[in-house]
Amino acid sequence: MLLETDFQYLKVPATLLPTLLKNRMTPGVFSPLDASPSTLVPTGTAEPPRAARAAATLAASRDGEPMHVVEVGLDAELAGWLEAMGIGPGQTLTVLRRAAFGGPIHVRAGSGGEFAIGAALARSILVAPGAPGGQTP
Amino acid sequence: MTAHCVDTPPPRLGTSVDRPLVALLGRPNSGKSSLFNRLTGGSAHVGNFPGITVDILTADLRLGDGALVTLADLPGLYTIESVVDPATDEGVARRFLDRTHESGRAHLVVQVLDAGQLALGLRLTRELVRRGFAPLIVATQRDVLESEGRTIDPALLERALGVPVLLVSARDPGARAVVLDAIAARLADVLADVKASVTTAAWDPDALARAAYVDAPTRDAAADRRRTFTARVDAVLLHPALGPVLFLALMALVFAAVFLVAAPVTAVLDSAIGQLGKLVSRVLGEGLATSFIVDGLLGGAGTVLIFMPQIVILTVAMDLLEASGYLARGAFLVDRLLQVLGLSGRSFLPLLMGHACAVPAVNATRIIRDPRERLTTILVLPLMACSARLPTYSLLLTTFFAAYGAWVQALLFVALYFAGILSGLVASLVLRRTMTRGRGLPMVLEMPAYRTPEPGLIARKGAQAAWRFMRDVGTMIMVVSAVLWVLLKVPMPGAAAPEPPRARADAVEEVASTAPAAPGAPEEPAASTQSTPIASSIAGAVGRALEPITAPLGFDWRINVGLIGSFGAREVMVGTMGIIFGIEDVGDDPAPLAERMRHATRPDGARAYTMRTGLALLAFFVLACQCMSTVAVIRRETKTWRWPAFVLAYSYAAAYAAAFIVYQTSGLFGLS
Repeated sequence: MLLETDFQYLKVPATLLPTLLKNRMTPGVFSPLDASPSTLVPTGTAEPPRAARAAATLAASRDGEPMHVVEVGLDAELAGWLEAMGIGPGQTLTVLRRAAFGGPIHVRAGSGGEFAIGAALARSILVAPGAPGGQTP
Repeated sequence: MTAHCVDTPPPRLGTSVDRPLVALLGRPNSGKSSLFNRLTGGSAHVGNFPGITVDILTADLRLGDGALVTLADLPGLYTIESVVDPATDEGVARRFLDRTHESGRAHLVVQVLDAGQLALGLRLTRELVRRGFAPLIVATQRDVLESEGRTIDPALLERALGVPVLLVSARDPGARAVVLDAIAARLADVLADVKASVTTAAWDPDALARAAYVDAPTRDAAADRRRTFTARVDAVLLHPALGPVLFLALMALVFAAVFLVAAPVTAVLDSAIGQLGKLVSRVLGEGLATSFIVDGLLGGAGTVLIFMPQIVILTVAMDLLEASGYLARGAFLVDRLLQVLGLSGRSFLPLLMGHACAVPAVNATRIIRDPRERLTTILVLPLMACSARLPTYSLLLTTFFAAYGAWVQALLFVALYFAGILSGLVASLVLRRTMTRGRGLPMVLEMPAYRTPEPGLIARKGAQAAWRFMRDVGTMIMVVSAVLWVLLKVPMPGAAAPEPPRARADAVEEVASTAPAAPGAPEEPAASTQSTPIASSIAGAVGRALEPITAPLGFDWRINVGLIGSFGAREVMVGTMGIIFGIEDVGDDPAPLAERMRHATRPDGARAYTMRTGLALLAFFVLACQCMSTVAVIRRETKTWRWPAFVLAYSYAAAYAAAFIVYQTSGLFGLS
């Protein structure tokens, strides 16, 4: 009986869980270890600092302030496509403007490109203030 | 230089397979197509690559050393590693590269990257190197970079990447020889199996890009201004209040161009075809063969030519918007609106173009990166109120609503436009949940820097659109037109048609008796005494056979014949009805025909058409895809008969259902 239940409604919270764990809980747990140098992830890019100050979604972030992408809450293929496009973890983004009525967000990426990011997608991109290294660029 | 383009017929794979293949690959807006045009001088054709379902332009080039190569322009792509769906441009390019690799054909990948966005381009380079390609890198936009007071250091990049790097401006005619020589040199390396000196991909694109940029020793204020040009223009064009207003104004301008410029050209072409028809009639004399040439073939050619100005204007407008960089801004502004329909801002321009003509609009859906969204847009485009619907709308409104005055007719006209949009909305919502359901690409648009479009390139694309329309769509229209001619003009074997002429004679008599003062109603009795060939034609027989099916919609055999005649092109309805009611040239004034249709009677003497019939017919015309051009272009763009067949089936089914509902419910409301 129970097994016949559609677990689809659990999928969304479940996919968000790792992100929440990493970005909300990890900074709290590791805050005393803040001074540790940032490590390298296998792709060769510097890992975002553990002390990423209160990560927020791109949709909820403030305009005009440089931020870096902490995580993209999509499945691996879509996240990979986005990263190739120029919106991946570690990339610096500055919100330039927002379209009316909750439309797309116009951002400038550190790599030199400018993008319009749909509102739904912007809600699944987690960003933290400043450059990946911690200092403002 | 010594390199020049050779005009060879389109290559068949069997004959040109030994020729080395040079594939141009790069991100969208990287200047790839400009470079392709610069290298080929504009002579290109759609290549034939088995298993590749997207048009890939190719051209045969002779390099400086005399070697003949095939240059292929792959679709713009961001990555070849993260292929979300095989139908995306990424999927197509990846399949192309894999198949070329497997075929063992000598090949070279030339990566075109925008020197202004080096880091993004180098990400793709890293992917190519990881997959075992040693590309030749051509960085474009040298002119833009230099005008902004900076440049890049190709030597530094070469050392880091281990592959040759060129910095050119695709607009500079001298770039052609430089790039062709580099291709020849690189190809010689590839053929000699010289491996790239550095094959690792252990470099960071962002760091490398930062290192490669060189500021000019003297930077002036003008260069600084040019650097911020895009940002300053965006401040105006994307302004929260001003932006949408300017966008609307621009779209209105495009439409005005279609209707103001295309209409006179169309009229000239139309009358030229008419004169040619008259000339043919005079030379050959009246007869079935003459009629076939004039009504069947020339009529079909007329349909093709009439749409040509619109198609060229819309294609050119679209290309101008895209090349200038404004297209992405427009999509940014209207994206929220289209999310309601399950579409994105990218679909806006094709859908808008659909209100002029669905044919270039279906072509324009190529700008939609998401394959499912693109398909959805293609499938709902035939519902938009295109310009070919206008003559029929105007005839029906004059016929059934003339008594209500101009305001009611104008309101109904606007309502018909909204009916098209509304039906598109419903169809899109339904399709996104059924036929085109599935994961889409995330909504990200690249907002390229503003650039001045290249007139030569735009003109060539306009000419290409016209040529492709002539070749692909034109042939189909000619075939359908010839078939319809047979249906409408050849008598049904063994069938006598005693009743229809009488019905028509009744109609004329009634016009004469009940409305003698009707202005413009032609009164030649000769037309009523000679039998109407269309009544005894195959179409006439089919129209009568269909009467039981169409009776619930209020359509009699004459309207059925009109609908059969307008299967190929909906504007033919007016002319066909004109022939049925004995008015030879309806032309621009539908009033005489409307008059006769109003007074047409059934065999039992009752009025054949009421306002309910008119409403049902309007509903039918809003929904039915009575356009072989659209069907042909959907076939061309989807490379399968499945989707055009689906469009025909669903739009006719919806049209029948809507006409049925309108006719029956309007009866319930007491309309007569």
